[in-house]
Order: sequence, then C-alpha cells, then structure tokens
Amino acid sequence: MSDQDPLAELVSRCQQGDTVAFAQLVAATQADTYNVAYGVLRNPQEAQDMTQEVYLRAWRALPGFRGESKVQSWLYRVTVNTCLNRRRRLRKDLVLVDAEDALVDVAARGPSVPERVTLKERNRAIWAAVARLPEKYRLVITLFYQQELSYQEIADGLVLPLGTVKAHLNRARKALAEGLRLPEEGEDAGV
Amino acid sequence: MLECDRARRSIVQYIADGEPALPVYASLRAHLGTCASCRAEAERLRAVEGALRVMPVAAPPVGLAPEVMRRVNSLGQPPREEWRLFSWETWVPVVAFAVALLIAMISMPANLLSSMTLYELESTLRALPGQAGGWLSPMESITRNELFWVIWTSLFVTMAGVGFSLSLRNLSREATAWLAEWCDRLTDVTDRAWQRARNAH
Repeated sequence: MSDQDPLAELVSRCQQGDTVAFAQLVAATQADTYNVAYGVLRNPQEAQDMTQEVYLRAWRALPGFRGESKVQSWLYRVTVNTCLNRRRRLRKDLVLVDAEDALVDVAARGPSVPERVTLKERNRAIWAAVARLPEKYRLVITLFYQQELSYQEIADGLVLPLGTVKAHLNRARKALAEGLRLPEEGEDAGV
Repeated sequence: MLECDRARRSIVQYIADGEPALPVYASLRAHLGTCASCRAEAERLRAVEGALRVMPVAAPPVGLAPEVMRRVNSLGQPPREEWRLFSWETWVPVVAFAVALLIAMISMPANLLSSMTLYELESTLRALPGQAGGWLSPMESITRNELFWVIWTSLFVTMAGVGFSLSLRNLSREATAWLAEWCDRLTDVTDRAWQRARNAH
C-alpha cells in the first residue's frame, strides 16, 4: 500500500472486517463516488443506487485489495465499471447514439448561448453541454475537472492509454468551444 | 491556411495547460497575435476552460452513507481472503525453480555422487577464480560432461520460468492498454473517413 494514501489504515482495518472503519471510508469517499456515478448516469436516483452498489461490492472485495493503487483510484474503477454496466442495461431498449455523432451534435447545437450573456449564464450553458457529451468524453471531463485527477490517474482508473485520455479531453474541449461559435462566425475557421 | 491548421492542433492543449510561456508554444503565440480567427477560437476555449474549472460537483443525498452501512451490516462480515504466504508473482518463480531442481535431480547420473568425492569438489572450487579451463576439467573427469549439462538445464529452466512469470505479470495490463489504443485509432480513422464521406455528399 502506498505510504501517501491517507486511507490506507482505514482499508487495513476494513480488511479485518471493521465496519466502523468502513463507515469512515464511506464518509470520506462518498462525495467523489457519487459524483462520478452521477457523471456517468446523469440521474440522481440511479447515481444513488449505484453508489450503494459500489460500496457493497467494495465491502465484499476489500479483503482481496492488495494496495497496488490508492484505494480512491480503485473505487473510481469499481464505480465507473458498475455505472457503465448499469447504463448498458438501461439503454438496452433505447436507440444507441454513436459517440462521435453525439460529439458533433454538441459542437453543432452548442450550449445555446445568446450573444450577450453573463459569465454565470455562459458557464451554465457549458455545463449543460457537458451533460450532452458522449459518455467517454463526459467521464474524463468529470474525473479531470471535478475530481481533479491527473491524466495518469485517469488513465490508471479507466485502464486507458495516457494519450487516449488526453485526446478525449481535448476533443471534448474542442466540441464545447465549437458550440460557443456564433452563427455569423461561420465556417472561416473550420476544425 | 496551413498556419491556422497547425495552430488549431495545439491551441486546445495550450489553453488547457494555462497558456504557459514555453518555447514550444512561441510560434502559436505569435500566430495568435496576428490571426483574429484563431484568437476567437482561443477565446472560446478559455471560456470553456473557465467554466469546466468551476463546474459544480453533484452532492450525494444526505441519507446515502447510513443506507450503505445498513446494507453492509445486513451482509455481515466479508469473506476473508484466503491465507497466502506469497503472491503468485513470487510463487511462480519458486515453482519454476523447484521444477528445475527436479529436472536436475532426475537427469543426474546415478554415479555422480559416488564418483565425486569431497576432495574433488574442493579442488574444483579452488580452481574456479580466473581459471575456466581448470573449472571444466574436473567435471569431465567426474561425469563426462553430465554434470555440466545438469547444471545448464536447471539454470535454463529456472531462468525461463522466472522470465515467463514476469512476462505474465504485465501481459494482461499491457494487452488491455494496447487493445484500447488500437480500438481508439481505428475508431478515429473510421470516423474521419465517415465524416469525409458525409461532407462529400
């Protein structure tokens, strides 16, 4: 276990079956876990259910946790996998939208920002556009900006190459920025 | 517009990194000073970056932690991990070594121990430093090269076992990353081709 992991001692006690330590672990990490779950599912009730599911899985799996990564990174991985599986089940009967089409759609429709808006209004519009991003882009945005993870931590958590994480972030930023383009700016600087 | 195309490729990362005054961005900064279109793009990216940095975090509902603990308590104790002296990364080389030893013992000539006296062993060890010829000659006299092959085989199997186990350790991680990388590249190429085809029509 990494010496820098402040939760390492709690994990060690959890592995001995200490429920008080587990309650402390939940209290310390629930905000991040819920936020990631919400980032994937975009539904408060689903996010709440999946957060509970994540901790139940964690409780069962913690005795086998060998501390090769920080427990928080491990929890991110469990959360993302659990939520993505849930999303797949939820969308089983829905028409699947191609991720790149959805990204183009965000860029085309944009955050719907009128020409003169306050900073607050523009930010809100951009956040709303983030919610419409394809899952894989939204996920790295959530982990990078809200959970403040490094590129490497995201790559480790999502089991993705570092270059892919950076590429996803940049494509998402670009799509969001493209959406801010005013109609009269036209195609002069097509991407 | 080649200059703009180049600028557009690095401008996203430049803004995301906080517009550092690095030499690598010198030409981009110069370009932004002269190109209104790219300056507007930079402005949009700054707005996006600013908004993302203050994006509100979804707060968990109040009763979440107690509900988790209620369910955890109803589950009871988690199954304890089976007691293990070593991880598999350790015991695979140990097993490899044991197999090497077994092979060495099986292939050992029956007359080896009886024919190799302590005196001969001692003289072999004494002859070792700096005298390779002197090291091999006692072997030949003892078992006609068989001892050499026994040692060689056991070393080979041990090393192969250690190498194999270390390769296995990294195999799944690297394979997953490699596959993901290639899937992404393939998706990118397909998307671009699709976009081009769509634009062409």
